[in-house]
Amino acid sequence: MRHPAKTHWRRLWPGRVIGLRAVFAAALLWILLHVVLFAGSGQIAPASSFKVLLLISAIGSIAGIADLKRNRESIFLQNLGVAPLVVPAIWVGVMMLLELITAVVIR
Amino acid sequence: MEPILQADSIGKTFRDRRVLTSACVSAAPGEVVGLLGRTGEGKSTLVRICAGQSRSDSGWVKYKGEICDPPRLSSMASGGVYYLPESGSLARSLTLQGHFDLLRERFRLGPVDELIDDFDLRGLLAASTAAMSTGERRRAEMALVFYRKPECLLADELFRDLDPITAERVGRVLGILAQNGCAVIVTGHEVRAMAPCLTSIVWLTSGTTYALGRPELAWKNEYFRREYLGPAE
Repeated sequence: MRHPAKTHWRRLWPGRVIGLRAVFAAALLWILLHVVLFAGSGQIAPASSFKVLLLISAIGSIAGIADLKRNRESIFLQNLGVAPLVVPAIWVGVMMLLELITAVVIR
Repeated sequence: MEPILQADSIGKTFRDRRVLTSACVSAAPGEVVGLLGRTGEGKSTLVRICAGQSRSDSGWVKYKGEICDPPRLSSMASGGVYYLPESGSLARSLTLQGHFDLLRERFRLGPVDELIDDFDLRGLLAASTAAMSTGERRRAEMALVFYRKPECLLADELFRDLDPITAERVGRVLGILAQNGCAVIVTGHEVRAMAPCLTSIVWLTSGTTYALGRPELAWKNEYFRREYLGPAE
């Protein structure tokens, strides 16, 4: 029998194909954002501030929702028992994580 | 038999347009309820509210005896609800095989091979769902529903744009699902195609619903004939 906590986490994961695509797309967007927004100022990875984290999470959630709508995944995910907001949450999570890792490494 | 899904006293207003005043619909295991009504009367709105895709202004939705406040499809789906919206339920990012795989993983379902042959989907397994025709998509959706074996199916405009053979096949699948204990609520205008699989009819008009009973009784209802079916039926 599966551990209840494991089952709970499985319910949050939208499956390998959708989940991994969201992870890679979010990472790619994070890299692009840094190239476009910050490279001009001579900093590839600026020291993370609250404002940067806020900006990253706003962009991540908008991109995640757009991705969900573009691929029309919402209804199928809900039929699987997965809340559709999990996909934007993955986008935000990945981008915030990369931002925090970069900040720690640079310091 | 006790209804598995029940929506009662549902009211909904879009800006200043009151679409539903006090609409009710319910389905018990083994029942195929046809929710019929003229265009713009709020059939899709009522089904969307039952499926947690839209909030009602008043009323309640009960699933398996418990009030869902608010109804959420992701929660109800874990308990056996499956929703087919008019716009389709397939994800563009997945192949048909991908859909079957995710359902199998999530609900620990059995092999799918026989089902794929029954629904004549072998050639579509690796295809992107975006490249499928309307009929193929509906066939694929019905195969997924059949594979999932839901306890309650909410299907909006299920028979729209289907050729007669596919419509007959979809109707047959609904019948089999009901025989296996699934409660079905289906909307649409394709009365001839829907009639053979329906066990009861609910007529939605002027924001409220009328339970007309079995199809043969509904056809005899003079008011329903005059206001919805028309003289040709």
